[in-house]
Amino acid sequence: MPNLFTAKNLTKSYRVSNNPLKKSQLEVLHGVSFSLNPGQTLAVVGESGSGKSTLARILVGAETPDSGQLFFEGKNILSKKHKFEWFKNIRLIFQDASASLNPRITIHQSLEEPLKNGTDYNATQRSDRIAEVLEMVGLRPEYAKRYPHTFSGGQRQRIGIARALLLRPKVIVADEPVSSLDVSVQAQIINLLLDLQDRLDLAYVFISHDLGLVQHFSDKVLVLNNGTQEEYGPVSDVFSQPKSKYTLELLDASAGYKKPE
Amino acid sequence: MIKLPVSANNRAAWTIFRQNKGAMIGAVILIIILILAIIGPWISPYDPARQFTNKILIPPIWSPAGDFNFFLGTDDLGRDILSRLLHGARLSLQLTFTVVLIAALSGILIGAGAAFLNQTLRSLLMRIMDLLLSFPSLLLAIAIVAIIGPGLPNAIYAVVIVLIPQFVRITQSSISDELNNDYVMAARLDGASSLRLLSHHVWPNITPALTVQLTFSFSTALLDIAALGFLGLGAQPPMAEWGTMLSESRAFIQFAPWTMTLPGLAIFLTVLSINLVGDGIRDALDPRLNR
Repeated sequence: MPNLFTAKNLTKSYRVSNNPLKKSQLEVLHGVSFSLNPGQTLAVVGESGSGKSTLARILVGAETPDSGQLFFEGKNILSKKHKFEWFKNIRLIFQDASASLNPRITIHQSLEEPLKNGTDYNATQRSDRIAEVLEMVGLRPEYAKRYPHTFSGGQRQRIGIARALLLRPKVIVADEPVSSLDVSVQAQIINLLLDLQDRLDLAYVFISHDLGLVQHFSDKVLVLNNGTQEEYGPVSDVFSQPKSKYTLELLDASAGYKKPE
Repeated sequence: MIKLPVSANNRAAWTIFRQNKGAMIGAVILIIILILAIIGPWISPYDPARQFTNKILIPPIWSPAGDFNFFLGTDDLGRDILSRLLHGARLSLQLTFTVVLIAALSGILIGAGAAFLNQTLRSLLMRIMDLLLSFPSLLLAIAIVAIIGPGLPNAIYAVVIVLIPQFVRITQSSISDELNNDYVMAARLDGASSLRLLSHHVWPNITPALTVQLTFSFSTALLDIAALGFLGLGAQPPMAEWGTMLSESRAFIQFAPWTMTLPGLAIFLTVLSINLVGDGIRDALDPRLNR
């Protein structure tokens, strides 16, 4: 049986200079591969600028990789044929929930968009689904009528999670979903994510720089350094016997992480 | 970082607007002028072109030589100034509305199109717009009328052409700014098409900027149309247009100042009230200015 979600040798580079004569390319991802099964969590760690967010954007289809392959349930989702399945099954939770919500439309209007494009629900069914998902993330259904600025940061991130869940995806890519929240709210959001994973058998790609959190949260870990995959494997193996010097440095520098005895 | 958009609901904007005294005074004056312009032809005592040949240059009634039949006096051809001003109000405002409407519609369409063009074409288009914007609006309008010939229709085309680049620029730049926001990527990932993205997600975010631009275009258009009329390039005599009235009575400013002062005052009050309202709207809608 094929894995749920597999990436093979993803690469991505950006043109740095606007000067058409100078062709300087900045390689942000260089040969990233992983595979993921239902209910599993893959953590992607690395310092700022290591290509984590680019990887997240590629995984949800916001950017196209220069080369490499992406498979969902054995199907090559980079081909046009499977675009719709990609859109429905692999969804993103944004780092900054506030910025990802349109300030001038209601939560209902924001949450309706994926349902309009991904389902053939009528208006009532859409409202019902929005209410259902808002309850799943611990918000009241009537909040849908309100505008984003009337919510706290934690509530906004819950709305971001609701938006990701609407289409009943199988994989959720979370790009540092708690890094802009304060610590007590972080714990709530993490617990919500774990709870949802149990109930819905979700697979997570969890982008983070908090190694303590990763250790607690994930099954596998992928260490990125300047776009290169330094290490990839089960969390316990990578953290207890890091093979690369970079992982070791990252572990040493991390405060929240507890060394296994 | 938490962004607080003021006009997530328009009620908040209205509250801010109401607290702005200048804007409220402007709004009241503007509403009176609008009502007068609409009902003007019915309440005006005489036909604006009718000449009372034995009642030439009668001063307004507050002057001792005033005549109660001519509330604001008559001009050098014996025409009732009040009637001419009322008809002129309707003409000027109608022209202004038409000009701004056409300019706004075409400007917004071009600007929205430009935001989705590729880099090279967009740069080319925007540089042409910059070129047009680099001229003072009146100078450009005069130049255009000089090329296509004087007359009211040509003056209207000229003012429309002058106003379009402002709308193009503001539409294009606000859309480009908005497209960088995360919520746009979120909507794209939610499957929204480019058109839907523009109409349902970006549009509500750029309407404040466009509203402000719209109000200021009204005063520019009104002033430019009057100026072209004054220079003899727009509305032609005997049309009761405020700018034309000003220039016709220029020769009598020494001994019949009311003939020139009254149309001038009409233009001044209208432009002033539009600008006051425009300032109020800008303050009410722009979160950066009032937080």
